[in-house]
Amino acid sequence: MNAVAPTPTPEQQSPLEVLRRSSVTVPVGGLAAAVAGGVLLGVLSRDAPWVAALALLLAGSLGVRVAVPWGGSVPLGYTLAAALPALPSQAGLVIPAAIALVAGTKCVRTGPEAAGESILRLGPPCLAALGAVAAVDAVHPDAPVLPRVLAAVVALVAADALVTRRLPPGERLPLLEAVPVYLTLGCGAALVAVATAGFGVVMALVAAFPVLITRFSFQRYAAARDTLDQTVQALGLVPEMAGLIPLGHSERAAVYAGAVAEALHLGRGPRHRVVTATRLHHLGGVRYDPGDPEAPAESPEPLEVASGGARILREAGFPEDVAELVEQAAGGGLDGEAPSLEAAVVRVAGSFDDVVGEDRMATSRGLAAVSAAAGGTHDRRAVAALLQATAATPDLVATAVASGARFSEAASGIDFGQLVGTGGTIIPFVRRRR
Amino acid sequence: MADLRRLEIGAVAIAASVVVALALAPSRPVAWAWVAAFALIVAVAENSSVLLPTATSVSPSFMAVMACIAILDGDGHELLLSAGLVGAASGLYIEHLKARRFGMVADNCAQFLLASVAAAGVFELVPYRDGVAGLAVALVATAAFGVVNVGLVLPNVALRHGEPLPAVWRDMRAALPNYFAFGLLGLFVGLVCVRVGPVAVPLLAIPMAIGRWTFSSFLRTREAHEATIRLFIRLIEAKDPYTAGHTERVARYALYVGEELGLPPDRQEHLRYSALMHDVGKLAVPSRLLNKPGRLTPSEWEIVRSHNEAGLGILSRIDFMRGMAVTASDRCSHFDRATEGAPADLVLEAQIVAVADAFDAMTSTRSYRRALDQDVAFTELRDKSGTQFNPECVDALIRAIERRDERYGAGYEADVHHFAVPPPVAGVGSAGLGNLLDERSTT
Repeated sequence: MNAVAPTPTPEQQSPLEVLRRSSVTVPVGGLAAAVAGGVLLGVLSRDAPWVAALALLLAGSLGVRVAVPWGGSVPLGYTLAAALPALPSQAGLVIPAAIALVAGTKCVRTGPEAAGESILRLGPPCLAALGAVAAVDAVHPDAPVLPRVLAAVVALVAADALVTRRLPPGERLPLLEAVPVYLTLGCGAALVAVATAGFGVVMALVAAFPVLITRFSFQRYAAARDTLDQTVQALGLVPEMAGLIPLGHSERAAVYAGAVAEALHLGRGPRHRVVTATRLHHLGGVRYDPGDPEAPAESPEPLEVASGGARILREAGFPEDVAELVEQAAGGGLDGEAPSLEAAVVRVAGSFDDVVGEDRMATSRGLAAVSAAAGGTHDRRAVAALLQATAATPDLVATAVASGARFSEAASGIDFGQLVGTGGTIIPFVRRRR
Repeated sequence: MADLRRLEIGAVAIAASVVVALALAPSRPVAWAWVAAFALIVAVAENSSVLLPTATSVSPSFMAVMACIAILDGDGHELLLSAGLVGAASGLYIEHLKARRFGMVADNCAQFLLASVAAAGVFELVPYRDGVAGLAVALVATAAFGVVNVGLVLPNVALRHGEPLPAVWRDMRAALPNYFAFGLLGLFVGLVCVRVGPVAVPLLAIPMAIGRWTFSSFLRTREAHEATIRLFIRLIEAKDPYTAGHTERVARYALYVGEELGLPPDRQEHLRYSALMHDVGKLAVPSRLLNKPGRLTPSEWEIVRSHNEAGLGILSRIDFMRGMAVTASDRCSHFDRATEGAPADLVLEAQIVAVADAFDAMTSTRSYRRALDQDVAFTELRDKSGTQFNPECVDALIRAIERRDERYGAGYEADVHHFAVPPPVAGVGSAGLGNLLDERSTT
């Protein structure tokens, strides 16, 4: 037997080895060198404590995120990153030092890949703000604070939008929905800069208050949205828990419905409605309990299930548009009219999963089945969008199957080892009596 | 109501006297254009306040009053009368005017006028504006507004709603930090306006408008969430019709216990959801077993148990439902059983819900047994305290019900069902708790 030198597995590689092999090594190294030089200059200057304090403050605020209610988040620290270049604050030192601090913390806590990622995410927007103010100064050396900070805000937001466009689809920030967050942070930056320039640092704390309030509102709204979506998700599982349909069906169908809606370029609202209706499209089945001796012996028709589901939703005060979609998806409540495109998406997604289920190998069969019914049971546009979505995202079915599998795996009971936190809760807001 | 009327008339009379006194002796001219503009802003802000489910509201009008004071301060115009008139516009709430509640409108205008004059008075009396001294003056002016505002609103609300003053104060004091935050912000905006011009207004108005929109959206989402939870409850009760009203009652008793144990508001909120959803596992149990009159066989019981656990396991994969699934599981509710590493908060929650559930099961009529007397239920809970039930939770529930002087059980049931076959006085059945019954309850 010959002795063979063991090949290091990824787990066995040293952090330096991992960093050397990482695709972000060059930017990390370059920025680290620049930061080291900048920090050295800062330490040698008499402003070193001020620079260090601002860098710490900026790094801390860059770590705090403002949630965008429809997904993703923006760093709260962008307020400070846009305000600092407009003020006599040595922002050229402070901003790189703060980013280096964030990256260093990430490196220690998660690893060099995460550190490189945070540099690539935070670096361009913050440096764009610096660059914009430098450009304004080059044109108008005596420009007041307000135009300087506005230039910084515009550059920062544009750079951040470009950076987030390059993220994978699942992590991408919905830019239109992020506009209110960007506006809030921009106004906050302008107020902080004007307050600091006009009244000193103490007033900057007062000026930051609206941004903090709005962050609180955004966090709560995002948490409430998540909580609602999860509760609807749980509601969609009820027919599955009762054994009326296969476990994981509503979740898998919801994944397909989301992808089809995206392929059809449906807006945020309709897309969300379609996914919600898909999750709930079998809810009416709970009225027909097979274990109930008084229930009808025969399985109910899909139209009966859909109408029953819509009735349950209406009785509980659920949004009417969702109830309507649930009903229309099975051909009900139409009065002779053709079902809407949104209803067609719900129907196609459900039918596709009826064929594919947990068997990824049945994708072609599922596509063939819905294609054969195009123009008849199924809307041609919805079928074409499903074909487009599965072709554009080859692992769509695998993703859907994995989403459904987590529920079928859980049917043996609660796994107490997985209990981390207690999930989202909605906390009452502080109130003032009229 | 006579006291309330006297209070309202008193406040209005004092406010009117102040206005007359200030108007008769104006030392400086009134900046009517500023007053009109800010009064309009204040009235619009008050009418765009966000209404909360608790019949209270949040509005940014106070901020505009303070901004007006900061702008008029030091520009040579009359300050007290101007601030008072601008503040009075906060009382012009359109819904009250539409409902012809003129007494309330006059009272609100009067109390806001007096509060605004108090804040402006601080600025008139103390000349410091810069540095820490200036900040202190701003804080005192804000506090003056708050003291007058709360001082007048507190007795008014207590009389109008028939609540004791301390209870109203407990409710209001949480909002006091808002006075300082919004007051300082308003003064700051005023100062920035003086320095850089009206361009400062949108810098503040935009984030505040976005904050308002976000908060309204949050409230709408919360309502939709409540509707979804109600839907869950309907499904559970449709599965087991004899337990209609049960979940709401269990939630009420659980909150009694949570309050007695001093749980903070966010945990109370989670406890409420957990109590409402404690029977969610029933959705996975065949109806024929849930509604079977009489005792279940061991094999049937095993089916109920395994289906219930499977249902809870499935729901536990959703973040929001995870805590509720644990609370609903039998594995955490028994006081004398190991809890398999579940978080302590959830174990306590499960034990609270177990006590509330048992109390309601005993004090309501089921298909297999009529409701028991409340005292019998208390005795049973005490007997099982320390073994099946957490003693602290049992004591807390009994204490809370006795303190409220409430009565449940035989003769006091809120939801009475009419069964095809009248239930026996005593019996056991599939909804559990058969082991809690003994000879005492059969009389």
